[in-house]
Amino acid sequence: MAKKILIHFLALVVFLFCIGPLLLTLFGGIIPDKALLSYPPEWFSMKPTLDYYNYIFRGTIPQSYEVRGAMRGMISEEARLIPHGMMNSAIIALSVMGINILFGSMAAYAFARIRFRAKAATFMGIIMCRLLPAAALAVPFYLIIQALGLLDTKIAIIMVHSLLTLPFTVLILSVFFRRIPIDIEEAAFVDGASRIQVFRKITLPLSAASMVATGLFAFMLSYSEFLYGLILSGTERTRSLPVIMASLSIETDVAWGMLMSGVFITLIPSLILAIVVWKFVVEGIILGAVKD
Amino acid sequence: MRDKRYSRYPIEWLFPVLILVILFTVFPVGYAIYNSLHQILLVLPTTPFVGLKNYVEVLTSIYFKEALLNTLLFTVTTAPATVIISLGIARLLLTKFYGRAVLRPVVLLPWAIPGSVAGILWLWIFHGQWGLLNGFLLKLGIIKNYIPWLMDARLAKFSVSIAHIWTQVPFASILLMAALTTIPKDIYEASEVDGAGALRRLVSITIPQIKGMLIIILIYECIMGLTSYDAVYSMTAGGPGGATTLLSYYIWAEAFKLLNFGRGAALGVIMAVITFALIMAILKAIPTDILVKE
Repeated sequence: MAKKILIHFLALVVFLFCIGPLLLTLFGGIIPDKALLSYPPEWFSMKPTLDYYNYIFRGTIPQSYEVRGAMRGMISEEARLIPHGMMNSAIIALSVMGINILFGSMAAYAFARIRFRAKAATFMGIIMCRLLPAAALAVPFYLIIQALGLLDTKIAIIMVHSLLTLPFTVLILSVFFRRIPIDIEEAAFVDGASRIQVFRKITLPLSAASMVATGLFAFMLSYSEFLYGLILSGTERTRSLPVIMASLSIETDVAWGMLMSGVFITLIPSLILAIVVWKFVVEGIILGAVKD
Repeated sequence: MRDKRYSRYPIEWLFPVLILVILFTVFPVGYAIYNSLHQILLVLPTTPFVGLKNYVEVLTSIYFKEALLNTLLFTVTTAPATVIISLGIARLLLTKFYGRAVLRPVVLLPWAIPGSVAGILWLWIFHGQWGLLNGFLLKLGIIKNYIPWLMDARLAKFSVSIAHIWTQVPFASILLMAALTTIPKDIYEASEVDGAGALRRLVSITIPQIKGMLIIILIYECIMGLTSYDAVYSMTAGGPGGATTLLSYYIWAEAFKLLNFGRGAALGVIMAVITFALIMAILKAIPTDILVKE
């Protein structure tokens, strides 16, 4: 009995540790700044408000700011960029996911099924390039993108994010492709199918689940990536969500409640992602058939 | 048959990946080394060759030393802490309890959140003037005055580490869960018959059985610690003073704030060398058969 209580207590601690900061953000976004910044704290002295959300999505300036003109500087125009940043992030991350599934599966298939010279060396080369610290390559990346004339374009960020994610995708998918029984493919070859046909008609359908899973990983990495997003973007056309959020947080004139509402909005896709990843990736593939 | 299974070099399958790798790895590494030997200030039109001047300047700078020490301290504390906490969480998630189906995906949440946003979440907790932690502690009567969590050098280091560990725990937990499920159950049953306690089982069965995975995660977390950037950027922007300036942030500031690309490149090369040295040291320190066996 004591053990049961302990387990439930620990579970509660882990639960609060993981989700607590998120709930506090929700709380921070609906409390008027005056109550939020009071000392000693009187968080519940004023009615909760949805003003900040209204401002971010519709541009309605919160009433409390209209009354006291001096406070208007507290509203950062940047907060209005949040929906835009979400769009940018979604376009970039989805493209990266697509590129990973398409090109990653091609390369992984070659490593899993074709014998060729310098295979091990090529494979290690692709995997090792991911071990280089991102910041170490920041300067050359910037100069290359500049030379290509691609600064401040989504294509540049998509390319770089694809590079960051592809080694992992190739590694995982080649493991999965090897698990597919080779007899099926051999039989198709005997029937006169070409390698491309075998790949398209047999390998891809049989490994659809793992392709979605690795694609989701790539999506997540791209959606969260910050350093290159910051360096390679310039205007609002390309700035991703993490970049906009970071610049909001270090900007002194932004209202705290506004920042919190912004953060909570950015958390919603993450929340959905976490559930989807758990269902498809963790339960389906990593933990496999093990049920306890 | 044979001809279809053997190809000289299947470039038609590999070229998209290879182009990216060559364009963005092989070329940049060479370019970084080249840059690091030149004076490249974006404000000046010429980029003269200066030999090892950038390296000497960087290595003798007190700011570099501070950033390096910060990063090493950050890595050697957060990496083991992440592994230990994650092992606990992984074990917990494999135990049956009420509400487990809810907790399992929730554990993934900190991972699905961009690091820079995670920094803001923790900024809201640790903030010196209106942070929630101070508010709670004051309300509960534990403290009389607000604690300047992010303004004091030591406390700021601590706060940033907590935020970093928070973002790292989910991934490590999932991998450890997967590793734990591979341990045959009968080993535990046998040890229980022999009267082994919980701690004894952890040390003699669990840890040896998942050693390979533990080491892989430890290496991964060391890389994450050495290259950590985003949470710190939005939480403290390297401050107070340089107390939470980590190497990655320092490189970014040198190159993109001070616009000294030559020195930024030299720093990048130094950082890559340190990362590889650390990985090699860890791999050397453990018997190779552990990795091969798993």
